[in-house]
Amino acid sequence: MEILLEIWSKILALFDAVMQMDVPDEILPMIVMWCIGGLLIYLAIAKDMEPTLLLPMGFGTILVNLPLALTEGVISEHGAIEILYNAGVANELFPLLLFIGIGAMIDFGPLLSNPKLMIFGAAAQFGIFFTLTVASLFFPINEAASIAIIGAADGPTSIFVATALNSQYIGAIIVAAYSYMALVPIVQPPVIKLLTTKKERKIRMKYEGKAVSKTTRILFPIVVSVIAGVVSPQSAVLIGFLMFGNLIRECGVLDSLSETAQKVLANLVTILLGITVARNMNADAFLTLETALILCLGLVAFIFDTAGGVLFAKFLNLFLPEGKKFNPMIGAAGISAFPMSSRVVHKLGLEEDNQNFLLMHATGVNVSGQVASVIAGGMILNFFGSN
Amino acid sequence: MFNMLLQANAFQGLAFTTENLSESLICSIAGMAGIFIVVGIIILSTALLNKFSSSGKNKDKE
Repeated sequence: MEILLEIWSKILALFDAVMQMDVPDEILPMIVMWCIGGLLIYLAIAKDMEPTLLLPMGFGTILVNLPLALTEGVISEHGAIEILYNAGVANELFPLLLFIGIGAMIDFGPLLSNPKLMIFGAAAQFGIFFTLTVASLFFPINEAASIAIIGAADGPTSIFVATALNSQYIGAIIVAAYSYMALVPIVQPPVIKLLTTKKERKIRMKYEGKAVSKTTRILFPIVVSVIAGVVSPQSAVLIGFLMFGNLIRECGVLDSLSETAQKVLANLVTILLGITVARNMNADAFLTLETALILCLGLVAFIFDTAGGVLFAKFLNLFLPEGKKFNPMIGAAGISAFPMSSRVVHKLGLEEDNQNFLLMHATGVNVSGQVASVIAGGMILNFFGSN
Repeated sequence: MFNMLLQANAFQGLAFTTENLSESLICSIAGMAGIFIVVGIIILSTALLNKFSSSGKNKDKE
C-alpha cells in the first residue's frame, strides 16, 4: 500500500512539474525540428534524395532536439555529437577525408581527352558569386560568402568553407546544398530551356574519344595541385586532398587503397559527417527567417550556376563556325553535382533529337565542375578566410 | 505558437543593407576572374601534358 501511495505521489509530483513547465515554449520548436528530421529521412528513403547524407542528418536532427540535448544530452559539452563535431567538422577534417574518397571515385578521362571543356566548369561557378552579391544585402559579408558556396553544388566544399568562415548557419547551408544537389533534375531543365532555343538544343557535337596516356593521368592531379596551390593558396588543401585521392586511383599500384578510399573511407566519413553536422540543426539555430532566406539563396545559386554555364557556351558560339559550335546545354553540366547534371543534359539532348548523344561531353564538363567548384571555394577563402 | 517562434527565433537582426555591396561585387568579379585564370592555366598544362605524353608514345613506336 505504501508503495502504491509513493508511486501515486510521484505521479502527482511529475504531473505538477509538467503543469508548471511552460510546455508549448519548450516543446513546440522541438516537435517542429523532429518533423524536419523526419522529412529529411523521408526524402532520403522514399525519394532517394542524397540518402547518404540526408538520412544521417535527419536522424541527427531528431537526436539533437531531444529534451535536454543541449545541457545533458548529445550536444552538451561532453556529448557524443559535440565530441565528434570538434574532432571532425570544426577542424575541417571530415570534409577533407571525404575529398580523398571523392578524388578516388573521379575518372578525369573525359576531361583529359578534351581539356578545353573545363572552361565551362569555370563559367558555371557564376551562381556562387552572384549569390554572394545578393546575400551580402542581407547578411554580414562572411556569412554571405558561406551561403554563396551552396552554389558550389558540392557538399564537402560547402561544409569546409562554411566551417572555415565560422558560419552560424552551417546547418541550413548543408541542408540547402544537399537538397538542391538532389533536385538538380528538377531545377536545371526549366532554366536550360528558358535560355536556349530548340535549334541550339539540337546542336550535335562530335565526340573524338582520344586515348589519354597513363603518364597524363598520373601527372594531372600533381600538376593541378601545384597550380591551384601557387595561384590560389587557400584552395591548396581542398584541391590537394581531392587530387591525392585521384592519384591513388590512377597510379595503378595502389588498387586496394583506391578501393578503400572510394568505398570504406568515403562511406565511414559520410556516416559520421551526416550525423555530426546535425549538431547545428537545433531549433534555436534553425527555426529562423534566415534559414528560409538561405534556402531561397541556395536555389538562386543553382539557377545562376546553370545560367552562367549555358550563357557562356552561347557566348563562345558567337565566335565559332558552324560544325564547331557547342551545344549550350553542356554548359549547365559545369556545376559540381555529379553525375546528375551530365545526365540531365544528356536527357534533354535526346528529347530534342534522339540521335544527339551529349553524355561524354557533359561528363567532361561535369567533372571539370568538380575541380572548378573546389577552386571557387578556395577563392572564397582567399577573400574572406582571414576576416 | 507563432508568437513564441517569432519571439524566440525569427527576425534576429536580418536587415536589408547595401553596406557590403561594393566589397561583394569586387570579390565576385575578382573571384570569377581568378577561377578563369586558374582553369585556363590548368587547361594549358593539360594540353601540354597530352602533347608531350602522345609525342613520347610516338617516339616509343618509332
